[in-house]
Amino acid sequence: MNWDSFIIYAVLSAICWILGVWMAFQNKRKGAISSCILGSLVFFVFIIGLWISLDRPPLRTMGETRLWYSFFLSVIGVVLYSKLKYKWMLGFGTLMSLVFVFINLLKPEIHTKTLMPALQSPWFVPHVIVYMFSYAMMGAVTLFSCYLWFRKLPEEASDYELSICDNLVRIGWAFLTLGMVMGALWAKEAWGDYWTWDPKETWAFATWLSYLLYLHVRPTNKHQDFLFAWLIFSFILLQMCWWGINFLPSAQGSSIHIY
Amino acid sequence: MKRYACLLGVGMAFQFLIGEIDPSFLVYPWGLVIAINYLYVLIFLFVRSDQWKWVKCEYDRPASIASLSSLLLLTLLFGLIRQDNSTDGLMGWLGFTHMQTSWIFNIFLFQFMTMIGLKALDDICHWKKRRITKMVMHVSLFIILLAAIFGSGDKLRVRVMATEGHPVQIGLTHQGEQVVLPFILTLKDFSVEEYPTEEKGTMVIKQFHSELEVKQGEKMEVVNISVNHPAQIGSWRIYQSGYDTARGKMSTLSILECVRDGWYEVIHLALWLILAGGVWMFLQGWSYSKQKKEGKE
Repeated sequence: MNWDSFIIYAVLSAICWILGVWMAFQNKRKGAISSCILGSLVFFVFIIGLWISLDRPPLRTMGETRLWYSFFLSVIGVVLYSKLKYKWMLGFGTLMSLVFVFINLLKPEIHTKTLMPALQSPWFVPHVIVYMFSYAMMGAVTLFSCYLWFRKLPEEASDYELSICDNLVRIGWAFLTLGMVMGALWAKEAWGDYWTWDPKETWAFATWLSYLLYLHVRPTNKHQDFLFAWLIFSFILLQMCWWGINFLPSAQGSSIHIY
Repeated sequence: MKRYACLLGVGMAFQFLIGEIDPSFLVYPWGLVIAINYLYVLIFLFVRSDQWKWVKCEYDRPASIASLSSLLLLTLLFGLIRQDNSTDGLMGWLGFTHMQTSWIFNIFLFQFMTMIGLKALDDICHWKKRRITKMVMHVSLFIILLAAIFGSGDKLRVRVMATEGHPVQIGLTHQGEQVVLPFILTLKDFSVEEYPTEEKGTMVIKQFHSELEVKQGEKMEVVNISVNHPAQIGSWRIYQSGYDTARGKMSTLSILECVRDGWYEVIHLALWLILAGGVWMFLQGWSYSKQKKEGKE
């Protein structure tokens, strides 16, 4: 299996996901959940197939990380829908997944089977997967906060809705921490330094601090405009860390993380 | 707010008067001695925090928010300003073009560490089962910052050029100073592992290995290292860093990085604690909203 067959799997997954969302809005919960899970499974089969055919984990290029992002977002969407019964959460999660699938169709960033020596480490897979899961989690909370902020309702978001935000951020932040620590342990094995303030690391630290600040502000701050704006700001930092630094003038030529 | 303005002022003054920070004074045993004294002062302040209100204001929620925001602001500047060590302009004058060794950044990092340290002590003394993850996170983050800051002078990184068959004991630091290693290295064999190539003329390196003979006094041992697989000799670790790329597979030169890090075990322990804390935090999952209903938080 290679990138040539991606279109087949992408279309199959997209059909399942869209059907799932449609069923959710028809209030057919079980059908919606099973259809979405089926879509994610089909997508996962492609990832595993790619892994086997490349003979290395498909985590090397931006395009390959986007595959995992789409996959995790679709899974998070269906888990949140089955848990919290918000239809549009499934809808937005699916939409964002599809956007990333579409980017990959246009720009798959195919890379050979090779991995450079520094990437030959048991930390490579968990480090990147944990980060991708965390990014997807933060993507979900950003969509959620946008929805709560801009929906046309006279009342503000309820305490319950805000606690959903907090939980998503907490889990996402836990994974950001895991990814960062795994990266530090890996860097020590590879180069002898835990942390070198490489631009990617600096922005990862900023993102981590920003979400941590949200978690510390929340118990005393109920000012919703501020909270939602802060979540969106944090997500911008996250995007900066993920791909923004590839275009940032101050990071040019000084990062080992450009890929 | 006033306090942070003061810290900023002190940072600027030091930056202007002294220039960038040179952590070499924190070399063993002084780094450890200062760290122990710092811990003593921290515990002393914490014990007195019931009488001294200002100490409590160093680690309550507003303090944590202020400290996190100021550190975030500096980190953003760190990310946005090119780190080229230039001394030109306002940013160069403030030390923001070499943030890692600038006074302002390190003073705020120190203040951040102090706040977490006091909070960690507070967590330990007011131990509650449901707050265990927060405690683990605060304690281990504090240990990491403590070891990173007070151990920074102890860290020594030496580049060694080893040629097959020739014993070497001298390496160069990044500043170009010669360092005599406490052991003698002899490269027995250097090898490059390649990917099987499909196209002719292209060679893709998978891994490279060095077989080294390490002689320390009377003791002699043979170690194999490759990228991601260093060898440990006491508090030193030997990393495979490079080779003579012009000769490629035929290279008889292996470039090694020898790193001395006496705080390795301490930081590793703390990092694994954070990993455990992170996993725990995830497994706890959705417990927060229940606490909210009970009105505990």
